[in-house]
Amino acid sequence: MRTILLLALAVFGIFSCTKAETDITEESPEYRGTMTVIYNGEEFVSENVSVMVGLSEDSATMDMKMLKVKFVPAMPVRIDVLIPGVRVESVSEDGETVVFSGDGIIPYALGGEYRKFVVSGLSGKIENGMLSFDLVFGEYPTSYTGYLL
Amino acid sequence: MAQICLSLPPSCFGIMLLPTVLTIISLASPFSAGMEPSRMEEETVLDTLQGAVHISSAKQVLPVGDIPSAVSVMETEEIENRGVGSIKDFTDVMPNLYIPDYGSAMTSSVYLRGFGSRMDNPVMGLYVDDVPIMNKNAYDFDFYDISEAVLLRGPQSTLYGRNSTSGVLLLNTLSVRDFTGIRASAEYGSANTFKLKCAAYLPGEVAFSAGYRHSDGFYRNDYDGRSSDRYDAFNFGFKVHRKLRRDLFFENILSLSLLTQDGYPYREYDSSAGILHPVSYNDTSGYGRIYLNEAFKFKYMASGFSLSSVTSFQVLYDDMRLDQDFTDASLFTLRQTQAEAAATCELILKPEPDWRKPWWNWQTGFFAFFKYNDMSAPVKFKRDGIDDIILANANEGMQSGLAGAELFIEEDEFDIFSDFGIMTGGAALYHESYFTAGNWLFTAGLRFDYEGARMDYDSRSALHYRLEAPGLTPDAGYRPYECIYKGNQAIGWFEFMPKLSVMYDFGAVKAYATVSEGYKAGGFNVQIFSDILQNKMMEGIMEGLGVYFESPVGNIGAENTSYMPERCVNFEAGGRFDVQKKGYGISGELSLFHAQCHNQQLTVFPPGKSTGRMMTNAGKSASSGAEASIFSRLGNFSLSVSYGYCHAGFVEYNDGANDFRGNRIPYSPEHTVNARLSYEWKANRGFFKSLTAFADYSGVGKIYWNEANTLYEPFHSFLGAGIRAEFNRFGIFIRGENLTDTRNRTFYFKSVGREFFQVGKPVRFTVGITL
Repeated sequence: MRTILLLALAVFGIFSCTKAETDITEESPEYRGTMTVIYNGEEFVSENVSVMVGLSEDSATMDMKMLKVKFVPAMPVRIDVLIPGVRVESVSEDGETVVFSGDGIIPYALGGEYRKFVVSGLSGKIENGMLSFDLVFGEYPTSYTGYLL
Repeated sequence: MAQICLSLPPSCFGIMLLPTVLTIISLASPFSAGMEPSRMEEETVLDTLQGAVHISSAKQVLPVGDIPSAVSVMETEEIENRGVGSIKDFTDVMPNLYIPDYGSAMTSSVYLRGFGSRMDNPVMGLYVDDVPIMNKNAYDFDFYDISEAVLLRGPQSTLYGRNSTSGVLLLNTLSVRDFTGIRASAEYGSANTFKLKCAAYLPGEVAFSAGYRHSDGFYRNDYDGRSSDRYDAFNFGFKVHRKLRRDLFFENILSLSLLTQDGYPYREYDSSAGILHPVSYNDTSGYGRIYLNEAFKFKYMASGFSLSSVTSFQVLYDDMRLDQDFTDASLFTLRQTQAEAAATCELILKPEPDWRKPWWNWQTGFFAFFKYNDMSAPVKFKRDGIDDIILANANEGMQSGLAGAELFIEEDEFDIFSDFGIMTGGAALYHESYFTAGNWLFTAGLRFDYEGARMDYDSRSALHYRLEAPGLTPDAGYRPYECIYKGNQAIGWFEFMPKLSVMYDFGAVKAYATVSEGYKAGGFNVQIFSDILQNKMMEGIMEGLGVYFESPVGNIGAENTSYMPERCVNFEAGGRFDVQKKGYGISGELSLFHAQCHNQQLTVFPPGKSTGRMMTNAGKSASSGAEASIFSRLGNFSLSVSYGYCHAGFVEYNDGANDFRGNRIPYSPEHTVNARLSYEWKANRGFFKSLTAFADYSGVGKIYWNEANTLYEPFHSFLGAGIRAEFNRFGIFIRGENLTDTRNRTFYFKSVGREFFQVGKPVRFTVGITL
């Protein structure tokens, strides 16, 4: 897995037509799973949500990109959201387990920094091909569990 | 408003020079040395058009009186006395024919027997000197020395092929076979309109003609106070007619026309207040056209058969500019240029006495054509259009998902380029037999057609955009975006078109019944490409920002832009009579018809969120009606009356938003009426020959303006009158049209949520002299 994660470092470029510099490339690992958003006190569950992950060269941080997500039922559009600079707490020797966290991260969406949805309380891990994390987008608690494709 | 100036691409000159070179070669042909007299033996050449013998078209085997279809015929004298200057002037005069005069010379929408089309292929074929005019944009041209106009109503596809589902108009021009001498005329009329013509029909073989028409126009654009329909056109014609051998005849017909005009005097209609605003638009609107038609006709006559060929080369270059919002706002404009080259070839085999049985006559023909159309149709969005149309729609949609988000475009104007290369080709084999048994005449015909078309498209646009939203800090200013959409599409089809008819000759009265089929060719919706690209741009821009629509902005692509032929089957019964006695005579015709149209080409809203409309084979319709015409003379009086009625409605038509089943087909009139009373006093003494006074009445309506039938033009009438005096060597005339100054509406459409009308021309007077 570490090999896979580090493979992402081999290519450094712009992905998905955004100007943001990111550690995510087309070769970055992609997970697909379930996202749950608490919206007006109700759970809104989305299936088959893809998240891509890219570790920095020094493995100190990583970027997560949520692809075509719809946070609330009323949204007529889906958006890509990049969560950059997530702090990597630890990486296991075999590279299979990554623990990460973050707070006060300004996500990148709609072609810029989207302060309306500042990420707080982010904590999660990658283990045995499963990505799971919890966070709060602005005022919307969100959790995700997905598996490596 | 500046007139359109034509600027030909260099390649066009090469194409257009070819027929001219061929013409010169024909003049220098070795056949000319020591030739026999150039006229066919059966011809009579007169120095006056009175009673001139007209050679019928290459495909008219039967005399006009035996044709089992409703027929209207108009000859030179009547065409000129009525002031028929283009095909639009046949409206009302020929029953159930309506070609409204609006827009420009490009917009010759033909409605015949209830069916018609505003764009693409027409329902009426047009042949000039046996040559099919391959582009409807060239239908509206200035008439000079038309010897005969014959309108055959009902499907004529068995002989005339594509695009003759409702009929075919055959125009023949004068030649040295009909007349020798000089014909010249000058006329001047309202709106500083003048028309000059001179033609020389030289004894022998050659005829030249040249004409010029100018008009200051009848409409003013309030935006700049200038004319919005100024018109200038030049026409040149050349004919060579030779007998190459005792049994081989040759004819070369060259016509060249150039026109430039302002156009499209559309007036915005405020339906809530019922107010029609003045013409007022800020961007150049007009039309320019160069059209060259070169035809070679051969006829080989053996003892057993005759073989005729008609080969034509047609080159059209036109340039249409539109202020597409037709207001003084800078929304968007369209400039559409076409360079089209077409070639047609027809071979017609007919039996001559050695082969022909007394009871069986026939003709068999082969027709092939090819044309290539190079079209460019860029839509330019201007600042108001970017803000009011594109961004307003985009941002309205955005608010529902991304509250407060707003899209911006940096450019004050940008183009959506759409370039097309459309090749169309086809071939057909047909046969018609005519069997006589006593007083019975039976006609049976069948045509087999194949036609194919391929469109190469290349649409593209580029702009810069940015998005603002609460809490969003864009990482850059305006982002560049480019959208390219290119590829090709191809379609093809086979058609069988049968025809059966029977006629019985009672003597002075002939009655007939006919069943025939016709088809209107398929094609491509090039108009929708701007909408396709707008949708793709919106999706592309948003995807560049990482935003994806839940449902596609537009579900249509190039694969949806083709449409197939529509077919029409017609059942008709009628009769004609002719009683001529010394001092009086009366002749007339009556026809009843019912036509059913399948796979009708209709405009629909494409699925998805497209704003445009596209043509597809969406429905069925039917038209039933009657036509009657009478011509009578009593002493010095003559009276002609023609009347057409049709009830044309949709049998099936759902445009994706509404079901119009049972509604009338828009733009086509329910009634057409024309009556003309004239009195001729013949002096035939000395200098003065005759004096003719006439009055005419025409009426048309009711015309629905939309498929929902919520708007219509009531039946409206026009009065005309004139006097013509003939002297030994010249004639003079004065003619008045629309004497009651009826201000009818000739066209209606909606654009960007606004409604528009064009109003008909006011009262007009013309004086002239003919030599």
